[in-house]
Amino acid sequence: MSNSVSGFGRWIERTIRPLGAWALALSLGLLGGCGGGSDAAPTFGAADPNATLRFAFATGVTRFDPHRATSSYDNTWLFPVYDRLVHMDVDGQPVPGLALNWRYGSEGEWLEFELRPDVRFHDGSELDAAAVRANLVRARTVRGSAVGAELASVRDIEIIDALRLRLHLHWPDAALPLILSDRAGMMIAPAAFDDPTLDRHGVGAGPWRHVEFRMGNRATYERFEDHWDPDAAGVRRLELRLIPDETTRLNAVRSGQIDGTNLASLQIEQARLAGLTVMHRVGVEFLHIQLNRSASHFGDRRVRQAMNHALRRQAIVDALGLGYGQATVQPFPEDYVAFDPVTGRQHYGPDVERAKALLAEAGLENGFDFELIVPNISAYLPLYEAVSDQLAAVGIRTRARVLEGAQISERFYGAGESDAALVQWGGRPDPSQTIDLLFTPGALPNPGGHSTPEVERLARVARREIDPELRPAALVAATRAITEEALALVISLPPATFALQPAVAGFNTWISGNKPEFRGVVVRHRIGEGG
Amino acid sequence: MSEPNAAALDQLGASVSARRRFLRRFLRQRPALYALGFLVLLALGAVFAPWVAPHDPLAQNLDRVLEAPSFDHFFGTDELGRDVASRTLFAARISLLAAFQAVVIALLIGVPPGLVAGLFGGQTDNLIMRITDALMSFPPLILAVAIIAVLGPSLTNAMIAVGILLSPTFLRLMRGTAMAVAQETYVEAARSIGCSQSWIITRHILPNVVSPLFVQISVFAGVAMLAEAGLSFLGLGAQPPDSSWGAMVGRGFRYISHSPSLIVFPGLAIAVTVLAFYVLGDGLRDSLGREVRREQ
Repeated sequence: MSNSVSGFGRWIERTIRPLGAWALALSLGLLGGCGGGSDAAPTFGAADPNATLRFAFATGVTRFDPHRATSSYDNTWLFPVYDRLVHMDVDGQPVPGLALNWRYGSEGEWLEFELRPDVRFHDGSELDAAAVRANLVRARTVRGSAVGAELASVRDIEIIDALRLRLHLHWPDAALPLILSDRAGMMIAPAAFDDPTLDRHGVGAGPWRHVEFRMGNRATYERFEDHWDPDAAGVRRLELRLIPDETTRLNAVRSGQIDGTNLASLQIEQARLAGLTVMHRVGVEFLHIQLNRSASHFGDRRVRQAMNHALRRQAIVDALGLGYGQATVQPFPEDYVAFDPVTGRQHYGPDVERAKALLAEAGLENGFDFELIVPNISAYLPLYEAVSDQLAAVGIRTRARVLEGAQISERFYGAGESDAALVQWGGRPDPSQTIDLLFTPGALPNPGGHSTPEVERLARVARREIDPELRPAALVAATRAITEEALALVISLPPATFALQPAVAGFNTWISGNKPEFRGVVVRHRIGEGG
Repeated sequence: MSEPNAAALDQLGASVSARRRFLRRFLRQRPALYALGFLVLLALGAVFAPWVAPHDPLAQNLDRVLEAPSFDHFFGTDELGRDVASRTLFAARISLLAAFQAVVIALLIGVPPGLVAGLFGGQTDNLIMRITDALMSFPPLILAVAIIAVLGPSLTNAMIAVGILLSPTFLRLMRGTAMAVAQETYVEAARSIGCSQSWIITRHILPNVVSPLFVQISVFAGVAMLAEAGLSFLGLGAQPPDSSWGAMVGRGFRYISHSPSLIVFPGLAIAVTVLAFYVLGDGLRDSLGREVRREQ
């Protein structure tokens, strides 16, 4: 009879035995970790210019053609290869990149860039006004462009001389400088435009040359010695790896297989106990229940306000994020240029009675049902259970539909299926991008295309206000209208969290969150165990 | 007409006494009895969970998350402040049901073709066994993940996958046993007096292949539960608000450094229950095996 337990039984046995050994090793490791809190921390000397920096991320890259790359998280993998016209500092301000400076015409009818001289692409060709123009034309027109819509204000591109060019605009576009710090402003060597390998092998003018790419695994980069900024590439080699599982990523840093990674905030204490450098920052990424406001009852402002009142955001942040993160009703972090201090973070405080009253006003005293897409990622399930429980308390019942990431894009954004999705918005360099993409009609990230006339008007004003003195007020006004109309159902802003080997220095947390750049990051020589 | 009736009566008498002897043997198997007792208790606990559980398994309390075991919460609370003890009890329903589903599916897929292959032999047997071989040549977990990828993640789909994976063993068992029984003289006798094929299968073959089947069912209930736990751990099985033990371990794994008890209790439940199924299977086999030997 034992014979008939057969292959499957033997397989179970084969699987269980190593698991047992692994569990034992893990528990010993944990014990060792607890007991081994020695105070003999290693000390480090100067940066090693020949070092290799190995960093892992949870999301991979769709393709190395920046104009056709579809995810904002592709940026992480593209930044080493591609410099942009405008760069962004860690706080989200535009700073000179390939362009030394830029200025608008008096009415915002054009935007002129002066380029950095003597810049070369990795293939040796010169980066001049003609190359930039060719890139911008391609970004708008290449088949399958993912950034063309962001350049909709550009009417024509005029070359003034070898290092100056002028973008003639349909309308004043205040977001353009920061849009050009994103994928739309990445400069590809023109000779590689039509190279079919561009999707797998990037050729730009960034601090590192692209050496190797293994889809679904890793990308390797090597310092570009002729880069215009000699301090940008602090390490000779850069290896970015894709490791989807958060536990595996943390273990890889702990064991020294990699030098750094992004983490979940749950893992902060664990990483600290392991002696790693931990950094976290709340940025422009946010978790939200994105409503298709043309579906279910979401076209009614009272319903959206009721849902906002139903959520107990701080409790969610405290329980599921262990207190890390910002509970807020606004799609921007506090102290950010577009944050509205008048409505504040708690405009819709948790208030079950108010929520029920609003639903009754909307003729829904018995509540209603809607379908909510939930990503098939372990971190989202407890979040779904928490929000569905809180919505149920005011009579709003959810039906979960669990989907993979790619299916969510296709089903929710592409086909307009389902009523809502529990997702994270990756944020954009310019606040007008987020406002326009999520809260005005016509953009892919706003399924159903719903908006209100007031929000549309204020969004347009904020996008077109090129006076840097006046723009913050315009952005704040747009955010206030979005909040008062309850167009968003924000849950919280989770912190982008990173764990690094102590030898790594110069790493920054960026307001863009999980899309860091590696300019100036170094790996230091280890000179021994200090006291 | 009197001849076959007498033969059938003899057969019936023999099987009744064999059953009695089997029962006597089984009652002497202490570990198997304990295992059976545990499983019965567990099944009762699962059925009456709403009355037995100390708390509502879905009631959240975000102010009391990841608490250690206490008098209020025997097994502590999970990441949403839910009572782990109640959840473990309710998850028993899902885990047992899942094992039951998988075994039923495996029986439905495995037994009929196994009987057909064993009884008819020849080309039919050849065809069925080659299909079985092909199925068994797939790596089990990969095949399960592929089946779930096609059907979508849900407990039933996961159990369909596990059922398909377990079915070849049932098929082979049925084929072998049916082949042996088909050679018996009473089957030949029945055939020679013109009994129909379906009569022979239902009256002579089936009663004689059921006993080894029960042993296999018990062992495979454990295997199915383990497979369900693995798939649910990976997020491919039970979906919220439902939870199985495997799903609880999978969810608790994220909080292992904050609250190890989250994975300890459902993990123990899996281990003990699977062990109980195996021990019960061993006991059944031993009781049965000796009988078979004695009859030979």
